[in-house]
Amino acid sequence: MLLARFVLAGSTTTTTPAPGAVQGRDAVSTAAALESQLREVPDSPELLTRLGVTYLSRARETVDPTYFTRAGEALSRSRALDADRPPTLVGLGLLALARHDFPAALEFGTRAHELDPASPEALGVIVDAHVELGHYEQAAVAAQEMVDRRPSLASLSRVSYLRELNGDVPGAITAMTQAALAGAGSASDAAYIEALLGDLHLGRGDLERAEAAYLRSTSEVDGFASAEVGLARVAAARDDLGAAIERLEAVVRRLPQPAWVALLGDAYAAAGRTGDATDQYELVRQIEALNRASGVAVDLELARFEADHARDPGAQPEVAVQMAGDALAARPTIFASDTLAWALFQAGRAGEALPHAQAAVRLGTADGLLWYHLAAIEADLGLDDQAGEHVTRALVLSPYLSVRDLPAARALADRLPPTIR
Amino acid sequence: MRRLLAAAIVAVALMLSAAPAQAHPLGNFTVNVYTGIRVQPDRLAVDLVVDMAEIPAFQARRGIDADADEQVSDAEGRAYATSACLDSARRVDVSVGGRTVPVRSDRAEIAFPPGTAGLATLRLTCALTADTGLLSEDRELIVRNRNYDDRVGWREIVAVGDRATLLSSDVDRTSISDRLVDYPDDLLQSPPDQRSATLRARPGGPAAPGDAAGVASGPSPTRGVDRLTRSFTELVGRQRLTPAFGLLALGLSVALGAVHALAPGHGKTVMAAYLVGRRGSARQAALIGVTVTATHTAGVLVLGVVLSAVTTLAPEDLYPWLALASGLLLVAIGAGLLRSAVRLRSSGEVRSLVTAGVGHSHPDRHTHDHPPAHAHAHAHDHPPAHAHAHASASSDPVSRRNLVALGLAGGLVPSPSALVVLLGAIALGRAWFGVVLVVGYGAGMAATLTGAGLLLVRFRAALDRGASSARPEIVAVVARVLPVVTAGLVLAGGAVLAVRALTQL
Repeated sequence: MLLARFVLAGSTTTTTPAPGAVQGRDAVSTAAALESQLREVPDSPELLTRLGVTYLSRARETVDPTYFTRAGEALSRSRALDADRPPTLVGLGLLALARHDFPAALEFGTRAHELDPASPEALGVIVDAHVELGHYEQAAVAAQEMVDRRPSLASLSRVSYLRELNGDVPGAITAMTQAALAGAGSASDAAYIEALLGDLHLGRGDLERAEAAYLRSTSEVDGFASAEVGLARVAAARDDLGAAIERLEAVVRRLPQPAWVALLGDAYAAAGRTGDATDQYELVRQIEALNRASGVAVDLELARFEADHARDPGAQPEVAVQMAGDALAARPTIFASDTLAWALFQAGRAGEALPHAQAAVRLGTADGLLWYHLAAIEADLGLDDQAGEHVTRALVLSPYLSVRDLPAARALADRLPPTIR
Repeated sequence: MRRLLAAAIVAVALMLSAAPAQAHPLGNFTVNVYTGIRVQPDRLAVDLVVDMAEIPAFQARRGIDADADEQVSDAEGRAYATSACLDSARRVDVSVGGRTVPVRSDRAEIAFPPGTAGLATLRLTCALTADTGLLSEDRELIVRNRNYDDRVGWREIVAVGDRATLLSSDVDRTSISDRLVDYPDDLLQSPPDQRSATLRARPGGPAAPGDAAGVASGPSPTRGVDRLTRSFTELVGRQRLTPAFGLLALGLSVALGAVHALAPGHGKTVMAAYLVGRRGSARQAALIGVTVTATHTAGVLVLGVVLSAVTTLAPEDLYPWLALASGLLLVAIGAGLLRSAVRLRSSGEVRSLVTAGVGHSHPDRHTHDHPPAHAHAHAHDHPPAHAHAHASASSDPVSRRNLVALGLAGGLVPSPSALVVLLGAIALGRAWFGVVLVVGYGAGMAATLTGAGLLLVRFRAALDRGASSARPEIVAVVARVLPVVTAGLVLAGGAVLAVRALTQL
């Protein structure tokens, strides 16, 4: 999810390669107009690129994956006609990000930046690709250049994310708030940024601010899915599982994204509805099977799901380890390290897990889950001092952690009183 | 019948084959909705199709598998389909001139076409009806489909008039996805997102093809109209009308009529019976052919005009009446023929029907090949009979009236194909061209029928020749019985036609 929000925040403003092009809600009519213009002039690289980028906007708005296919067709046709148009390369870069092909995204972004050094969109692609490839320092350099050129929604939201990764949550919130102010774009842009802000507040346990941000988001775009999920998480943090489940059910019925389906399963499980939880987990596995059948690389989210569920009845912990290892190889981020650590731990290989868990917190990221996973692994290895310290840190950073992990984390904290040095 | 008529306007091929086992073309969590609206004079028939890709189908499966045995039985599938269609009907809003009209579900079907990764997709088909009351031009029809409107997917609405004429419509007439079976693969085209249709219509007009649910129920949608006719009418609709194309279409139309006349019906049996029994001439055969054609063409034109102008008149309601009239006419002709045949026979004149004619046309052979006594005996015994028989077959006014009546009976029931051609042309705003084509069609029919009649006349001549070489006793028996038999055939044919028409009323 972290990835998604980054990529999508990136596409927020990079969807305007040409003046007067796409802005959010108008994407439907823009697409229609471009489609009909293209019937007259089928070989216009400019029109093809604009259409491709418009399809990317539509993909974000509708969550309809077929728009990625359409975008790919339009952009590659454009590139075949004119190989060196920076907007086309930026579009291809955004598409590669959406498809989790980060090396390709980095290539497209770099090429576009060489051809048009002033393009903030090209820099946006470069930042996102570096982040997802675990090149945090290069990402920071590129983001700095970007924000220096123009403190826009696109640059500020990236700065916010980099600050968050580096453990500076207040700084991240400040940047994201500025991004929201700078944005003033379409309603869906605003809804998007507000939802990200809500996530930041929720992550550090500020339920009121989180809820307020999510509500601002849904007031911009009715039923905006990631804000609805955020509101469900707020409800769950307040022990109102009924309300959480209700919201999640609505979201998942509409948009069965694996992470959200898994979250609904966790909410059912927390409410004691194991049968319903199993159904949702089963659905996640079906989505996995579909992805595999259509040749999509193992997704980090699914690897994470498998790691979480490696001890469920019938699960194969070694499969989870395999998937997490693949995910880390393709996407060497701190979250992939965390996932592999957790999968190894669940498979009873805590010794091998420890270095990966330590790698996951190397930036000092203020994400409680990373610290809790490290603590659990350390506790398993008898490193009680570190475990106690880290689990306490996890709960201080993220008092509500997650529906799934909170009870275990609290139990661990109770068992291991922190050593104060 | 209704269905075939407007094949001219929209040729929608139903593809019943299951989707191949591959990933859903629209992404595996889409829910795609098709709304096919048929505007009928007093109601809307809504063909609602929901195509769920693998993931939503999996989500729905939970609700379908009522006994949670991980299997969907037929009964579970049916129960789900029924309740899903009931729910769906509630989420289709129909309003007529601002007044909300309830929508009911008449039929529900469900299928699970295989998808990818061993998962099934789900295809739900609901036949919905909204009783709108008789249409009126000044009342706007609004159909809004709220089913699955928060889902990602293809949302397509089409509308056609079905014995009603759409005056305005903001949606297409034909499905670009073939009812969610064959999604276009033009990638540079956004998927449709149609949620409502606003229509204006008046009653009266050709019927639309296909069944409301797109599923065959009862007779086949294409009954009576061959593929050839459909492609032809489609062609007429599609092409720009150049002189060359006009001539080509006319030629095709003549050919179509000629082929059509070869099909069963058209009073060919009756004509055959008459000509054989009454020893018809080429002129008579031509007269029947021309009458059939004139009647048929006139009938098609009148029916076409009436159908286009008169409200709520369905050709399928009219056909049995025409068939009944045609049948009764034949019964009357048959009865008349029978009476005269019996009268002739009882008066002994009938014998001359065969022999006199033979003698007349081949006197030399007769006298040489056969005992002259016999031939002459006949000829001499009944000279008036010979004269009478000959006259009655060629110039007797009663006989001429019979011939015209026969042609009338044969041409009274208009050919659906010709009607389709005409209505198609009218619907395309080319009524005059339609008339030309129908006349051409009739000419084609006339050619075939006259040709068939001439063949029969020659057959009869051959029979007569054969008779001269046969044994006289048989010739006599055949000569006596044939007119009675053929008259009976005419009468029986008419009776069958009439009875069949009665059962359809």
